[in-house]
Amino acid sequence: MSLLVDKYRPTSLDQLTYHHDLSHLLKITAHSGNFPHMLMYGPSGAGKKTRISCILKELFGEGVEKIKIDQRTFVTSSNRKLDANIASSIYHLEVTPSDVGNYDRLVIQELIKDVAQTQQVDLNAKQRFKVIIINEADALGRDAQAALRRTMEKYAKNIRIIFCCNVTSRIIAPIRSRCLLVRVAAPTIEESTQVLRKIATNEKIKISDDVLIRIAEKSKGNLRSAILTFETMIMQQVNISKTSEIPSPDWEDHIENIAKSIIKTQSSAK
Amino acid sequence: MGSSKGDDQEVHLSHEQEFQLQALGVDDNHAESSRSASIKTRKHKFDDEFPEDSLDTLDILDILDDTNENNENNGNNQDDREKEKDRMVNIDNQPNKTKTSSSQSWTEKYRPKHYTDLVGDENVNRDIMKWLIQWNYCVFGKKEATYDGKINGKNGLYQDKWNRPEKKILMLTGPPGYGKTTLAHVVARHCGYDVLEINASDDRTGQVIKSKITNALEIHSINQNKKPILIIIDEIDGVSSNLIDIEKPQSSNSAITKKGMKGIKTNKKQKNIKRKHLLRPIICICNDQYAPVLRPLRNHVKVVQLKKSNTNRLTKRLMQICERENLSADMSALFFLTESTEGDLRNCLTILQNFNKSLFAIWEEIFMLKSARNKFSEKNHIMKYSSSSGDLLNNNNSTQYVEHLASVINSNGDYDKLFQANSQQSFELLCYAPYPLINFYRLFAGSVRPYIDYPKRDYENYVAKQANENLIACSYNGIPSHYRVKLNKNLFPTELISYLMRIIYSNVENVEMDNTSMLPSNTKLSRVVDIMIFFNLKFVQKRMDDGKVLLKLEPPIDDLILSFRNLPKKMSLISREKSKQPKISNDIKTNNGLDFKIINAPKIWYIHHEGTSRAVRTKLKLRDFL
Repeated sequence: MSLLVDKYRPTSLDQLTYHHDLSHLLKITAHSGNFPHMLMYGPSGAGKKTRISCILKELFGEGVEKIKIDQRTFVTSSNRKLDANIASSIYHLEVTPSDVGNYDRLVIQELIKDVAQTQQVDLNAKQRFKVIIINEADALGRDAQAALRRTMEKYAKNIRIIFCCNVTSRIIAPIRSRCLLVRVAAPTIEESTQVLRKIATNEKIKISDDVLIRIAEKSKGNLRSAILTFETMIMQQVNISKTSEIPSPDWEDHIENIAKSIIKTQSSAK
Repeated sequence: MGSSKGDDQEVHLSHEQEFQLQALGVDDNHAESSRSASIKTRKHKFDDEFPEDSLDTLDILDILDDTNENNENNGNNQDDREKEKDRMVNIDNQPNKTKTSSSQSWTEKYRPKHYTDLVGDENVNRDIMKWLIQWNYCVFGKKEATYDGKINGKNGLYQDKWNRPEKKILMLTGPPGYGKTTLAHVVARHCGYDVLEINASDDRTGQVIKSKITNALEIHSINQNKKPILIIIDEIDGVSSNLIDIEKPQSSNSAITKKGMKGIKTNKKQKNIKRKHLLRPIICICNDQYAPVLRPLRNHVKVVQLKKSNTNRLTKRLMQICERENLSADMSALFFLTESTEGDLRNCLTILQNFNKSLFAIWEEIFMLKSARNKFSEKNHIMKYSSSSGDLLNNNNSTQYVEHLASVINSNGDYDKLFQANSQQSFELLCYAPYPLINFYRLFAGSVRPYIDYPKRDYENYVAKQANENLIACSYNGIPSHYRVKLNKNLFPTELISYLMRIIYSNVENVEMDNTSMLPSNTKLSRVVDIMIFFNLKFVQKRMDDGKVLLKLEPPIDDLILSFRNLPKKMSLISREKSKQPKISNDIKTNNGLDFKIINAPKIWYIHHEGTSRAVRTKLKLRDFL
């Protein structure tokens, strides 16, 4: 892992730097022996996926880190072939059904049912169930979500599902009621600053608190973007002073420019 | 051509036989009147062009065959068709040809037939030619000993049992109308191949193509005195992924040949059947090299990108065509035409040929003052009716322009497209429809030539978006899969790429200039290399239009970043640093050396005035410049 974002990604619940209450709660649930289906939601860059991988580690131990990727092909009724990338370890399985667009129902039905109907055969496994992670659950179609309803109950013995999404409003109520809703809020500015400070000291970079705070403010609670900005700055700029410019993604600049020019001349002449 | 009657019948172009020909067409269930009509016109043409004796060998069936474009596999016809084509070339090359065959589109008519006719970039043409010549030993070697000399010379480059080039498939990419198909055909013919073209009009499901290709290869390896075949797959980006799947194993299979080939001395035919080695060149043609269906193929092909040809050359070619068609055209107008179509020569020709009939001509007539137009058309007689409007100008009668315009507007069949007001379907009023438009002339006509075009922004943006999406998908797939799963596909372009580019480029700028930056430049450089390896990015040397060699990212995701697109300064900075950059790209290729040192004294590169020919190359010392 070469980007700082990935280098300093926490791998266990203890390493998480903010939302300690939440980490504690997750730890208790993981050890309770009665792990529920889960629905993680929160803004982008708040640390949902990081937390999910931490939970998995808490549940199953090191084994979940041995991930293999395979591509499965699904054939639709109209004979169209769809490819979906699936990351899996022996304990869990991660899919992004929205990759295949309208046919997400198919992935849900075929893949998840498939997994759900097989029991964990490894006797040494810590848990008797497998975990299925569904990314971008808010992009799931209605059909796909409906297809999940029964599966979640019927095969609860064999699988647990962790949804990961930005908003819950597009998840149908029956699924919401079957899950433990976990909100991962964006880190506050202080929390992001702390994370940045930690990285800076580890990398032996001298940088003033003001700049870090400004980076955190600019990223608006998106920690990934904050760390990326930070890395860009230390790579790009010679001396980081209090006044140095904080880079933002170029499309943001671009849109800003467009908006400015719209405000400036409100006519079609330009 | 099933029926064998009249095989050796010669064409003496009398009217009875013409009739007979039509009857023959009906017999063969080719009853479409259009076809027989086209035969008729063609016959007339030959009648005009050639004296009786030159037509001796031409038989009726040949002409019929020629209209039957799909029948390409039929080996017997190939030669005859070739002959016929040569004739066509002759016709075209006759300078004072007065009669133009209106049935043939100019794009077909003036398609280059010989290598020397090509107007594209010479470097690219040579590149393709070189690749094809590398096949010579494999394809012709067994028969013709004359190639032996070349083989020995080439052994050092790449070892292959059949001395084939390293990449077995050539992929030509470029926007439409740049002459990809033409180039492929011309070069193939030039190197002595018969062309088997598979394009969008054919059935392109995997199995069909597979049998077609193997058929073609086998037939020709049995029939020794025929020309070998070369397969051109046109518009490959529209093909179903099945085909690619089939091709891929073929090419990758052939890449393994080094390992266990015992049957080198068995004849070709056996090899073809047993091991499915690709022993004939394949050229693929597509518009977007990053199209998702081509992804599996990309590692196995040599990609050649066609650039926009020199506008001056294109204009000159258009000028020649106009001359030949007795169309007096202004050089600057043609230049404007090539500019506005962005080098799409096919589009240029279509516009030229159909100039008279289009709605645009009428629009122009309406929105441009007659006097001004006349001045314009004195220079540019492309408009046929300019003479008639010239007459009108002389007596400058105010009532006549109404009639004239009305007739012009009426002359176009679907003039109701000009304005869409007839929504009540009261067709009895339709005859008055042209007259409101004439008011436009009275009110809005100006002296400047209006630039009228169908709105195409939407489509252009769509194409650009498509290309960008393909690019994103391509680079996204380059990321190692274990990381890819964690990274949302939508986040990659919005959050990551922008910063990534800054990180990669930032280093290049700062390495030499300072030692006081936050990180020592050494670690910076190695970090960038690290990151680039991780994201599967490379710096590749690319030759620009002006002959400069620049290092560009491959896949070129920096195109997605707006600020870099607007900052040529950064590109030049990078090119200045190129003495250092190859080290990075080398490192990435070998994937291991992170312990390189920064060269303190960068090499100085002088780019001498480079032409297209590299035949003459002189060594110059530094002091010669001082």
